[in-house]
Amino acid sequence: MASASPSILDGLFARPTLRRALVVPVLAGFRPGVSLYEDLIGLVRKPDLDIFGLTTGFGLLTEDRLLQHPEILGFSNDLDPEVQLEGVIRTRTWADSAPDEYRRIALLSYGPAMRVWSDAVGGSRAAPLVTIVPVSKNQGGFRGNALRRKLVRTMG
Amino acid sequence: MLGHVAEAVLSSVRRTPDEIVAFYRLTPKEEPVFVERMEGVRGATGFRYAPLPGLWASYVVRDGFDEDQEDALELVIGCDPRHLDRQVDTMRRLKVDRDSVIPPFVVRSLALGYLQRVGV
Repeated sequence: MASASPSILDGLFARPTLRRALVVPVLAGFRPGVSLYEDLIGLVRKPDLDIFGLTTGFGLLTEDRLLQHPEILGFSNDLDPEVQLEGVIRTRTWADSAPDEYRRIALLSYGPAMRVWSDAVGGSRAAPLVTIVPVSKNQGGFRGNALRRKLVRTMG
Repeated sequence: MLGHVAEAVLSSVRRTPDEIVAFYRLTPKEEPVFVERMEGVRGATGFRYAPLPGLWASYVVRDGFDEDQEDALELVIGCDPRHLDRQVDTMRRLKVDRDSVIPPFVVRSLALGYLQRVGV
């Protein structure tokens, strides 16, 4: 009886390699397609990295969705409790399934969506995978070299 | 709910194996404003607007039952049942007490986003 070589069996049964995720809080002036965003996030785009925009009301949206539907950002009032609650539910739903897909999650930490992120991800399955990359205004914010170095180092 | 244009009220829900589809009746707040704003939608119904995972929105024109009854414009929101199930699980885990899985702010965002996309 013919038998398959070990390399073929390995390929058939191996668990697919988990990917990495980068979560970036997005605002009308800092989103995919805007030069300030592209100058920073463009530094770390790689084939094994999925990049999500974090919104207060809609949770995480892929870059593709944000490029296709930038208008959706205009409907999320960051201060409305109903909006924040929906953001928490959607983000938590993502966070509880993310470890099935991602081995590492990096978060750019700044802005009003951080409260939603904390409420949603604290205690979730994704929490142990998260590395926080703080954005400091004192170090030049999005344009600062310190943030660029930190981001590149974190995303390897 | 839709700004100065109309109030959207859930009128029926239809389930299929692949989708849960909710129909919202639109009640004009001010008839002239509604007619002016929504007239353009009649030529742009059927397009699926899907900016959020697991959800899409569209508008349909429902024919009046008889000659005296005018056609009515309805907002339709479709959901992926698996996505909805996951959200309901999350709501239970977080002990969220809410009437609907799709809150009014999401309905409003989809309804108005659609209008922007079709240029109305």
